[in-house]
Amino acid sequence: MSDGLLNVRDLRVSFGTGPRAVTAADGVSFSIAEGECLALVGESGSGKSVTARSLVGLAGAGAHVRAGELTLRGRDLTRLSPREWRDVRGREIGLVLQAALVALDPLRPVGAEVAEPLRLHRTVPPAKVSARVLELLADVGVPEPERRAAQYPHQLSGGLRQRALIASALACDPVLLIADEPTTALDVTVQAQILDLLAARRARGTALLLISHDLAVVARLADRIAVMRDGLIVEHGPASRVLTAPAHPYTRLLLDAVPTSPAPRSAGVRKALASIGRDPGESGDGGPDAGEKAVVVEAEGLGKAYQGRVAVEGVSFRVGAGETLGVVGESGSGKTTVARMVLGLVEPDAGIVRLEGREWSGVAERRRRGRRGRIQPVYQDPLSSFDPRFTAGRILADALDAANRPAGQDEVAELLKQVGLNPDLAGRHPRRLSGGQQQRVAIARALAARPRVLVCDEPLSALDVSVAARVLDLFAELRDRLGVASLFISHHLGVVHRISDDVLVMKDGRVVEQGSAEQVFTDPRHSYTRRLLAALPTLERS
Amino acid sequence: MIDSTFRAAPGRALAGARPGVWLAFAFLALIVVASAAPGLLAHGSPDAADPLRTLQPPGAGHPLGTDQNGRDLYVRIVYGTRDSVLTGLGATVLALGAGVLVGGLSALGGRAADAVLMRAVDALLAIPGLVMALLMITALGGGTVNSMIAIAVIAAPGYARLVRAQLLVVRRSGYAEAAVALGRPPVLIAVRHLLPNALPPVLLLATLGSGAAIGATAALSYLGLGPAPPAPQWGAMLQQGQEYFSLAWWTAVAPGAVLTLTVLSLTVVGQYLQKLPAGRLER
Repeated sequence: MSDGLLNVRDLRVSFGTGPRAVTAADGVSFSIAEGECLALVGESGSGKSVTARSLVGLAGAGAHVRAGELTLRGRDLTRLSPREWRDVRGREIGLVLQAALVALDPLRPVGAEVAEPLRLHRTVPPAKVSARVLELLADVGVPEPERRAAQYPHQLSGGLRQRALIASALACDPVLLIADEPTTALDVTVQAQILDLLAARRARGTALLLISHDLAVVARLADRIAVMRDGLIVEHGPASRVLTAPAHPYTRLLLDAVPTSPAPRSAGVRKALASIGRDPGESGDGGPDAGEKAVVVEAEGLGKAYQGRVAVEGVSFRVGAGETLGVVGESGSGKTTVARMVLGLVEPDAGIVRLEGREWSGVAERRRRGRRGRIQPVYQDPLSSFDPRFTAGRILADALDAANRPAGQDEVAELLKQVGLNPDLAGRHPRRLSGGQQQRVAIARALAARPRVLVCDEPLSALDVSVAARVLDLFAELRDRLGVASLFISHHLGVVHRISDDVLVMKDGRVVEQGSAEQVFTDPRHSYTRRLLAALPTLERS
Repeated sequence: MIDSTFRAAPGRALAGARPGVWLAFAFLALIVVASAAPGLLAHGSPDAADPLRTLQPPGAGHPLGTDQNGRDLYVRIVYGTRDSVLTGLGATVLALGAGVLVGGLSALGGRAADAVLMRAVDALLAIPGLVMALLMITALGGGTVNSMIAIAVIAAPGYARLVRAQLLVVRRSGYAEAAVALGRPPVLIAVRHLLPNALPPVLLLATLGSGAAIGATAALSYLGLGPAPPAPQWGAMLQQGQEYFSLAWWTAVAPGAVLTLTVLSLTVVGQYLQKLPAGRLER
């Protein structure tokens, strides 16, 4: 274990003291060689980020870090003074943080951000700094570096900002680059580009520690994978072995949770399709014959512009009882605006929404109110959709009351059971529930009104993969059991493929492709859909 | 896991508070007792004059000394608490009520109501507070109730502004939208979700503002616009004491110190409440 560039042996990080101490990393050991990529994979709370931060001496306030060995190129990092640490950070170890979209100083041009490590560590003479900045930006694939360097972060897209961050981390040619969830906030096509960029660095000899919750993302890049859970590395081995023959049950769970594409449709979906008399092979194309089944929600030529900028244009679809329409697109494609128009929270500028055959858009709110329970939202961030003063039980009782249903303890318990939660959680505050439990409470609230349609806007993207997989199963189960139709919006194609009957692909406010899930995923007609599919990280290593 | 790294340990009510906060709470408790039952803290009448013992320095029998009429300053201060403090608190409650009403209508009552009410608030804010109060008292006449109203009118626009701003934030929240999606009528959403979530910071401001209101009450009574002379109002006592300051400093210092301590205590308590984790005030 002591032959690598970076050697970590028995790293322990804990927070607090005495009986209330929390151990975040509990005896973590690994090493990375030059030009090698180690991926540290785990869900939130597994200790992966704390481990990475400890390597640069930034474990956080109140952290106790101990290690049997922590060396970089033979130098003992545990004995460094704060001043020496500053020398190591940026010069020898580059750190790319998650939240690419907010990690740049909004008041400084991007070029200044990239120049900072160069000036701090004086690795190039001051006169040559600006030339080197342009070189670095060009290196990470920023087009027109001269123009971009003078721009501010808000003028750059998410992908360009992440590239600028990587350029700044690479400025002093560090021997080790730590990337903590470098692609989490990015669209799939951009994610693929960033991963290619990291691969190019590795090829040039930089050691790479890649941290992610997503096995599919690291599959593309990692030589070795270490799976973390509760502060321990539960499995550690060559990537090909971990991905194809996982030894630990937790790794298998994570692998099962990755929605791969193309994937076998879940049994639930098949059953649902069978129950409405349709064969998955030739499911509806939104054409005339779909109209003869019970169409629950229907949109015709929807359009919406904000301050003259077109957000949505010409979107039409039909969703029948018990059907799921997946809406796919990258950020800014207009998916959420469509959802809000369908929910009756935003009035379309053009077109019309019909709910159960009757007009739903362009109707006075007073007349719409009585029908609102028929169509219910499920949001990306459940916690912010709960009144912060309410317990889970009161949230559900409130929703039952709004739907003029009895709202006693028994009814609340019934709702909780329906979404697979223990009725005892009714007294709990949502803040004290896990992310998956919160989303289940949000689904239960939506079901309180006995809706015919659920409009789910990125309902899984705030959840860990294994949790997301279980919530996805819940959606499928509810559809089978209750016959609820849904509009399922996601940027994640694997998820949409797993749950949807029909799929709508959106780009820049327009529908570029529309059809059955089978057709769109196996035989995409539009080049944009093909690009999305190609960019989707899969477990098959190329 | 990063967030757990930096999450502050939950403060346990008063246990972790600084001694200054303890003292402030203790002093306010005394004020409450003095307002409710002054007889418990001081014996004798606040108006009992002793012509033989005028301008006595603090000492045995008269812990804070006596004034120019030989009245015990300690007794007068204790009996003056109700008038001095309750006028300020009453003004704050009035101002808060008006602020919630105006701010609420402004934020939730549509564009026209917002424009009219907020321009009215701007107009009130444009006039300096004390000038406004003097104008009102000139129009309404002096006395306890009128000074309460005058001070409430000065303070209300600030509360209205904050209530409106808070409501506009809360109205955009996910839970407000979820309530709309459930088909709740707007009034019910406002009462059940919006106001309860918008008010905590307003109440905090009111704690700080009540100190200022008590100070303003004293200022009005210092100018002779408060209750009629024999009443032991702190501001009036301060004004009288000023005349004898060179002979008997305690006549001005004693009421001034009590007034200062009261306002300071309210400020300290207000700031303490402000620093509590947001969740603490939510239940």
